[in-house]
Amino acid sequence: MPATSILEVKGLVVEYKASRGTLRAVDGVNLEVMRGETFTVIGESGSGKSTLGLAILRLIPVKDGEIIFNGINLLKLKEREIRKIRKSIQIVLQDPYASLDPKMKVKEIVSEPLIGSGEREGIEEKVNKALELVGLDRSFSERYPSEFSGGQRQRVSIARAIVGEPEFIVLDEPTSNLDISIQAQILNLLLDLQERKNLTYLFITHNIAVAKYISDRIAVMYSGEIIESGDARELITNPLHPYTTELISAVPSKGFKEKLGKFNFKEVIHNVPPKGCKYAPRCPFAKEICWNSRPKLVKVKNNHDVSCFLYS
Amino acid sequence: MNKVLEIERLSILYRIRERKFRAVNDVYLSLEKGEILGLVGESGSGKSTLAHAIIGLLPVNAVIESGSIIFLGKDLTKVRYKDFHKFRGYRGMTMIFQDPMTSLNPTMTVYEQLEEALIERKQRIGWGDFNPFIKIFPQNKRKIRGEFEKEVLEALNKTGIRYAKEIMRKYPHQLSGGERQRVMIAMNYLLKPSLLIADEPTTSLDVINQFKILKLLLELREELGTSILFISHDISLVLQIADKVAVMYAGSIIEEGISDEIYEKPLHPYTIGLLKSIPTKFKGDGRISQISGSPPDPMNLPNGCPFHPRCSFAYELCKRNYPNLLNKSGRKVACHLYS
Amino acid sequence: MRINYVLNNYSLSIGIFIIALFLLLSFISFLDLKLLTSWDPNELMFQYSNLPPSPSHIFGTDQDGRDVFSRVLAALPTDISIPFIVAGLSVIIGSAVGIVAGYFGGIVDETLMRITDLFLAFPSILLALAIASILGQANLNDRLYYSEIALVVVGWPVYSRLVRGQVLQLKGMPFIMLARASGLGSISIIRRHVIPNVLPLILVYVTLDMGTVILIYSILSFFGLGVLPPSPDLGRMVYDGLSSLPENWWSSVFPAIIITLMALGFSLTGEGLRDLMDRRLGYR
Repeated sequence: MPATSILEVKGLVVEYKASRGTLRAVDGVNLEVMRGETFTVIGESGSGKSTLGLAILRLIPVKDGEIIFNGINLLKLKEREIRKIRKSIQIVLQDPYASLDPKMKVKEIVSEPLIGSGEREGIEEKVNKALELVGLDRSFSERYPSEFSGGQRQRVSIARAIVGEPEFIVLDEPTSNLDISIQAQILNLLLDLQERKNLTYLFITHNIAVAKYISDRIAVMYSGEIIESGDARELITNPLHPYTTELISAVPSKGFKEKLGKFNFKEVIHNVPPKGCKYAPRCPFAKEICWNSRPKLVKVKNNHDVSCFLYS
Repeated sequence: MNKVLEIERLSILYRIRERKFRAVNDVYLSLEKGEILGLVGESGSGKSTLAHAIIGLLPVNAVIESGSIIFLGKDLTKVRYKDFHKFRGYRGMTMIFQDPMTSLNPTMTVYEQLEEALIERKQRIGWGDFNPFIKIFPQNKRKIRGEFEKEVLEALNKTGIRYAKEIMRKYPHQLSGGERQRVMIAMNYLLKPSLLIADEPTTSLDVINQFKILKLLLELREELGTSILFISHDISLVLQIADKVAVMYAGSIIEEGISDEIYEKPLHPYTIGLLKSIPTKFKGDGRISQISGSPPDPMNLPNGCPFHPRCSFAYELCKRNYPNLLNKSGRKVACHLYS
Repeated sequence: MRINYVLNNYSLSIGIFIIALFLLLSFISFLDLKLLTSWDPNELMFQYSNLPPSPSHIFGTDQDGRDVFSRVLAALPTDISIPFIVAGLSVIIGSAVGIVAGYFGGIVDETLMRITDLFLAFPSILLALAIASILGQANLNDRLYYSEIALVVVGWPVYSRLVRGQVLQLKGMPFIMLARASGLGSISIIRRHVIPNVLPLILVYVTLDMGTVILIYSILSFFGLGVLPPSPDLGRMVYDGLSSLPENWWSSVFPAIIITLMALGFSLTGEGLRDLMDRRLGYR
């Protein structure tokens, strides 16, 4: 079956006001997600990746750009019309404790997407099915979140996300606050659910190992821009952008202690140039052109794009 | 005296709403001078309780049921709360936490807090004595401040923090997470502790900042000979950075040994399971195996070995008898498979 | 487990006990005062004036020969209903303002908060006195209602600030954002998420507030702005008995003690509830 595009983001810009003026959390991002795949956005904190996820769900105001979901530009819709689509696009957030209203029972939490889209019948059945799919017993529906562990709460959040039979789910660091053994369970659960329900994921994380395990394609985000993207295996095995290389080399692995002894990352001493590549102050390979103009995302290999003057 | 810390038979009880449970169960640990000991444990393992017991910050509803914590020759379990401060700070122990925001005073500038640490050190005469009568009088303060500033700046520069002079005048909320952690490390350069307890110091940092902080910890150990107790739930990280590793589960140490050896050949099924839980494969190359179930409720531990309900190797004996920590040629393991 | 909290929490148990006692007495008094006392609270019997407390007159008699205890009992139904009505109305108005201001933000927030600040700027007692006396000139019979109105006008702004703060905190919580992502509208979110989460806080403050209301109302009625004579009223009884002080102290002091006791009951309950909430919050 030919791959069809389910989400297309064009030139997305999200700004917010900070004490120093307006900051661009998302600065002209383009991406395309195919149906049934897991598209992962990797970046450090402050890269804008979480903002990107929230913007796609239209939970925060967007300055410019297009978000095209199943052919419809979400940014052109009014709030009332968006509500009808909300069942199809869902989100799971990072904090398992703050994601669940402590005053609501699990069944009230999980049924929310159904209530929000105006459904009145068959709710209990759908909630029970969702709980079962995420590995929780039906009896959980009458209980309150305060009785559960982090892993169980994330399962409740996932149940809420899938109860309305969505097509697309944004997952913003869903396992970052969980223990390693629980993380493995949740990741495997997400993979299983994807197969069973033909779900498409936009996965956001800072953890390279997790990205490796869960992704079909990966985009690396730095300071609001996508600086490299492509097939997961290809990108991680042959990283092109210096930042990507930096990220991958910082992951603890064999020989880490020796690496810690010998190597260090460049400390940033300059400010970000207004016209140049945002990574230049940190880049060990920065040349003159990097300070004066911005590189664009270009295709370097099949399924591997990079935005860097080393390659263009 | 080569052992900085020696913990023997330590058990700690918690009292919550009239019920009691053991958060730490019969723990043996030792740390040599200049060694990095990693303590791995997930939620409910008791690792934080253990850390707090060592530094004397147990909450009021926790009590040391039995055992000893011997720090530089003195048994800390016999020290009263009001005397405990003598063991912290200069040449004693310090602690850095996961969230440096809450360990730094939000109403004091970076300089003021580091200066406080420095004054603390200068006021100590020798080890174990604290002369409260030597004060820095206000008229001397300005003269001394010049010298202090130099030393504070030196400590900050050692951590590689950029714009150290500006950072000194800032308040904690104006700094990033990585910068705050570096201020904590600078504080340690000033205090020169014998033991540094690092409780999940890099868990909330991104990979690159984590690298930088870990590098600084190693340098601290190199330069000052500080021993480090590195606590984390991330076994892959701990195995890479620590010399020795102890794995905790449900309040007990279930495996202990040299990191490289544990990495090559983990013995306890929990350790094996943890290592396998780390995602190493690409998508499409098959699933990673997972440990089923979740860590047990400390108030409701299973009979016998606390791990048996989740263990794929469990047999009859595991359900009845609690496995003791046995020595297997340098490695300690608490599992019936090896007895 | 919950009963345990209540029993171990002395403030809460004593406070609830006091309030329950007063409510019970008020209820019986309202239905049939004769069940509690044989004296008529309004009958003037000068032959019995200024008798000290005794087994037949537990609180003694006032200068007009009326049994103080009976008068106190007769005053209870009115006096105990006032904190409930006043605090109830204040909390409804104030919380509504606070929720709207906090949730919708922007210019709505600005406007509502400026109005709130305006009311908060005046010292409450003085403002209440002013409003009550001005309104009270119009129609003497409805003086009680005017006092209550004055108290509500003065009381609602505190809730507005309080609730707004709580709502602002709530707004940042992921589960609110997730409710929006589920397609719920603002009204639904306020109903399902905001109100249940601010309710505990409101409950604590409303209880504490009731204690304050009793005291302020007593001051108002002391100055003659409460119910009209001959209906008994605790605050006015204190005033009336002033001239008999200090020899015939009982006609002022006992009503004053009862006022204090009622206020104490609410305060203790409020403090107890606050401890209960804190303890609950301590456990994740």
